[in-house]
Amino acid sequence: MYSTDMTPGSPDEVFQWMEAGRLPPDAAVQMLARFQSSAALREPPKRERTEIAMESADEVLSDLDRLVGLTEIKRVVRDVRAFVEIQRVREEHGLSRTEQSFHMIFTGAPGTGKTTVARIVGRLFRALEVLSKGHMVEVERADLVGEYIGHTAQKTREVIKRALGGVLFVDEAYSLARGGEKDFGKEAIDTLVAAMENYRDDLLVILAGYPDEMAAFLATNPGLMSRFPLRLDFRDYSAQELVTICRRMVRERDYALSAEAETGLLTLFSDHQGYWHKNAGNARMVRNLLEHAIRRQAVRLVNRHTPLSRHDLMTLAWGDFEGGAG
Amino acid sequence: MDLLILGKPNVGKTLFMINLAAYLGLREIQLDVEDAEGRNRSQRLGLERARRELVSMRAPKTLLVQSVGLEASLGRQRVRLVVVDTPGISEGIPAETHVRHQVALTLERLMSAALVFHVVDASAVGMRRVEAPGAFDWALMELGRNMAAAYLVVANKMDKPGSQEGLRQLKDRARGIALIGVSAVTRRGFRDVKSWMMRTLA
Repeated sequence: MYSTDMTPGSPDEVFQWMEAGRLPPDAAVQMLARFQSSAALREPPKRERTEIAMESADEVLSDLDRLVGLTEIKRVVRDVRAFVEIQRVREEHGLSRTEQSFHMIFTGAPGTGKTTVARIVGRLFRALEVLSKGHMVEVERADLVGEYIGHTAQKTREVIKRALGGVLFVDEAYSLARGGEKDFGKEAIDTLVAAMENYRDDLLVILAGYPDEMAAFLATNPGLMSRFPLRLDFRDYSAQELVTICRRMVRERDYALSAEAETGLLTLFSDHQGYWHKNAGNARMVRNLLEHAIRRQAVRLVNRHTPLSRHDLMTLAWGDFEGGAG
Repeated sequence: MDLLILGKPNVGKTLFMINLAAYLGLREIQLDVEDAEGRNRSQRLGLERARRELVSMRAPKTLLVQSVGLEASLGRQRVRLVVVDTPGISEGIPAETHVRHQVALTLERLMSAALVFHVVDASAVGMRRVEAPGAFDWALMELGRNMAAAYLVVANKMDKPGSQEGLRQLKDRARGIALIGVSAVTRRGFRDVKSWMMRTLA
């Protein structure tokens, strides 16, 4: 039998004693508790926070620069960075500081990079010490709007609490105005606006959605316009940019595009320009196309009876893409 | 990331796991079991079949540590979790070697898991039954209090009579520890469990 003065040297010893039938589970757990608390002291909490803490604004911006296209967006983000830094230097010299809020509205079709940029903005503001954590909480209507009176405010406040210190990204924000006056969406907007005032220093709200719907949404809520001074328009990618995105995705997956696949894609993207974007969603559509091609390539190679070279395994031919866009 | 589910025998760990997986949007369960000889078996089950085959009203059904890969969408984040379901742990030293091995295995997983769900039977508090909370549960709560991993007490069987009173007593014991009353059968409280997971993983 076990006695209370057994002192294990390691958790492994506890497990061995248990297997040997010398310890009941409750005593084992008590012994493990000692190791647990010391282990907890040794290991820092496994969050990415420490990693983010060491990032500089320039590193974040170089991540932004790596994104394809988005010239206008990159410029605005750089402007914001310059503004924040200069305000800080001014303050160091005893000059007054212009208070400005950076809440943003992102308009654009799906797959144009809104979420990606929002994440980068969060990290940037963390690096500039505008936000304390810089994480992003991504929500949509269902996460904010409740089912009965009073529920919405509670739900929205909970979401805000999670987002404090970082970015609250409301996707398809226009849907909050759906359903008219009696809808609880309005309550969510009001709670959000109140929180933006209360936590002015440590919360960044980004509302995102399709351009047309967002314009209508803002028109019906005139108070919102003034509270979101920064408006970024994410344009659809050009055919050339889509090819660049595709090439990059291909490389990440250890594949390569054949020359005729590249020209084929360029023609395909130019022909469909302006018409499939709305529904298929830019960069996401490219990814689907690519994944389809990768599957087709596999089928093509499996049916071949000659030995396969590394080159064969890597190359995506135009034939693999054809018919995948529908 | 590992999510460990543990507790006394017959408190409803496996049904809780299956129904939580369903609640988080899973249609099918890919079950990996390490059997007595240390071999890995893997099996795909529909949810209905999983409930039928893995859960029993009477005898403890889960005899081996088994895990389920789960890609859950919590809010708009997608999280990959390995949910580890474990055989129930009774008070006292088990007579059989292989049971002792499974208990040791479970506690070993406990030390490395990122999230821990400690399932207790709220309707059996103070009773003299295998599933009634006892010394092991109290010890585990104290461990959970100081644990680096996120620890949650899941007070199950809230659909049964007497569970309200049991929950009150459990809450008394578990001051300062996260505790949620649920029913794995009716899925009551699952929303709270999900939002707790969202908060801890965010």
